[in-house]
Amino acid sequence: MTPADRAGRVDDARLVDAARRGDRNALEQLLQLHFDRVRALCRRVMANEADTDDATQEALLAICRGITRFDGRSSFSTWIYRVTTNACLDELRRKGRRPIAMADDAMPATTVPDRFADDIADRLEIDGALAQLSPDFRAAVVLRDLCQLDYDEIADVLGIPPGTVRSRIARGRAHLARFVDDASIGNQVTTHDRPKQSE
Amino acid sequence: MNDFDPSLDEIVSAYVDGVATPDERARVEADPALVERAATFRRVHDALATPPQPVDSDVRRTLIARALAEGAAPSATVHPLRSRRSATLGPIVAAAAVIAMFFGVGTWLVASQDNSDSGEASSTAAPSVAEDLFDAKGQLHSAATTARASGASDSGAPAGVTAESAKTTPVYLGAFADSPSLRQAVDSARDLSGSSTATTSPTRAATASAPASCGRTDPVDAKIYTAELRGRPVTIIVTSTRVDMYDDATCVGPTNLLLVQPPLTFGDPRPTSTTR
Repeated sequence: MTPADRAGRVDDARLVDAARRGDRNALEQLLQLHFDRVRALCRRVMANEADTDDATQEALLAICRGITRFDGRSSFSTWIYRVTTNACLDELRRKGRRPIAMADDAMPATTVPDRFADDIADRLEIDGALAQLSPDFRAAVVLRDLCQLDYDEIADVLGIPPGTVRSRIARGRAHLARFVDDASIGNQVTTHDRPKQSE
Repeated sequence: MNDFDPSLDEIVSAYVDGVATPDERARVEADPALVERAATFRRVHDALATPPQPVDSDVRRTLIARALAEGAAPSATVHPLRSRRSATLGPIVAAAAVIAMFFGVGTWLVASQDNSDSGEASSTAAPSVAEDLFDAKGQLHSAATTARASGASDSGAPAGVTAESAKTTPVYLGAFADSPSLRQAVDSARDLSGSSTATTSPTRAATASAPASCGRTDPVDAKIYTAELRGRPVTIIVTSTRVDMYDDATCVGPTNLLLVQPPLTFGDPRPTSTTR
C-alpha cells in the first residue's frame, strides 16, 4: 500500500464515520472522492455512454442510502465497488439488456457484429467488445483490470468463490483478446474470417 | 492465436495477474505460444485499465447533488435496487386494500340500512363516506367523484377498480415544440401535483388513453404524464428520483429528463436505447 493509498484510507475512515453519523458534508466529500471510480466502473460495466449516467446515479444513491450499513469489514472502496457493481447489474436487468446468463463453464458470447469489422481496423472498440460479454464476466474482468482488485476482493464484491473469479476473468479476457488480435491485423479481418473460439 | 484451450487461458490469465502457481508459471514461460498469449492478455488489461473519458462537470455536479438530495431524504420513496421489481405488486395490493375497505363500508351501510327505515339516508351516506376515505388518499378522491359522476356504482368493488385506474390515469400536459418547455411543464406539474390537478386538460384528459406501457413496469409511486413533443406522443414517468420520458410511438426510452442538459434532442432515438 502506497502512502497515498494509506492516506486515502484514513480520509475514507474519517469521512465514513462522519457520514454514518449523518454528516452530509462528509457524505458529499466521499461522493466527490469516489465519483470517478464509480463512474468509470459504471462506464465499463454498462459498456455504453448512454446508460452510464443512469447507472452512476443509481450507484451514488445506493451509496447514500447504504452508508449507515457499511460495517468496515471490507475497505470502503471495495464496498463502493460492490454497491456500484450491483447498481449496474440491476440497471442492466431493468433495461432488459442482460444477455442470457451463462454457466461458469460456458463460453462467453462470441457473436461479432458487422460494425466491428469496420471499426476495428482503426481502433480497439473495447466497449463494443465488452458489450458482447455476459455482465457477470464483464464485471469480473473490469474489476480486475480497471479497478485493480485482487481475486479475493472481486470474489467479495461479486459474492462468488475466488476460483470462479479466476475462471471468469480468463474467459472474459479470452473473448476480449479476439478483438485485440483482430485489431492488430487491421481490416483484413471480417466477421466471416474470425476463427471460432474452441471449447 | 485465437484457438486456445480454456484451461490454458486460465493459467495464462493467472500468470498475467501474478497469481499463478510456480508450476503454472514455469509452464507458461516454457511455451512461446503461451508467452505470446500472455502478451495478448496484457494488451487487454492495458486497454481496460485506461480510465474512460471524465464526465462533464455539470453532469457530475447534478448526479452527486441528486444522490445527496434523494439519498439523504428520510421520507423519500425510493425502492431498494434489488427489490424494484417487487414494486409491481404495489398497485395490486393497493387495489385489493381499497376494495376491501369498500366491502367493509358496504357491509356497514347495509347494516345501517337494516337498522333504519330511511333508505334515502343510507344512499346519500355512501358517497359521503367514500369521499372521506378518498380525501385521505389524495388522488383517489377525484377518481371516486368521477366514478359517481359517470354512473358507477357506489358499492365497493367498482369504486375500488376506479380508484386503481385513477392512479394510473395520465395527466396530459399539452403539446410542446421543444424539450426544455416540456421539462418546465413537468416541473410545474410536479410542483402542483401535491395540491391540485390544475395541469390536467379536461378535454384531452377525458379522451386520453393510457400511455403506451412499452413493457415497462412503472414504480408504484410514479406520477404519469402524457404530452406531445414535436408532434410525437410521449409519456413521462415521474418518481421521487427520476423523470423518465418515453416515445410512445417507438417505445424508445427512457430519457432521464433530470440528467439531460437543454436542449434535449429527444425524437432522435439514442443508438443504444432500449426499444421495447
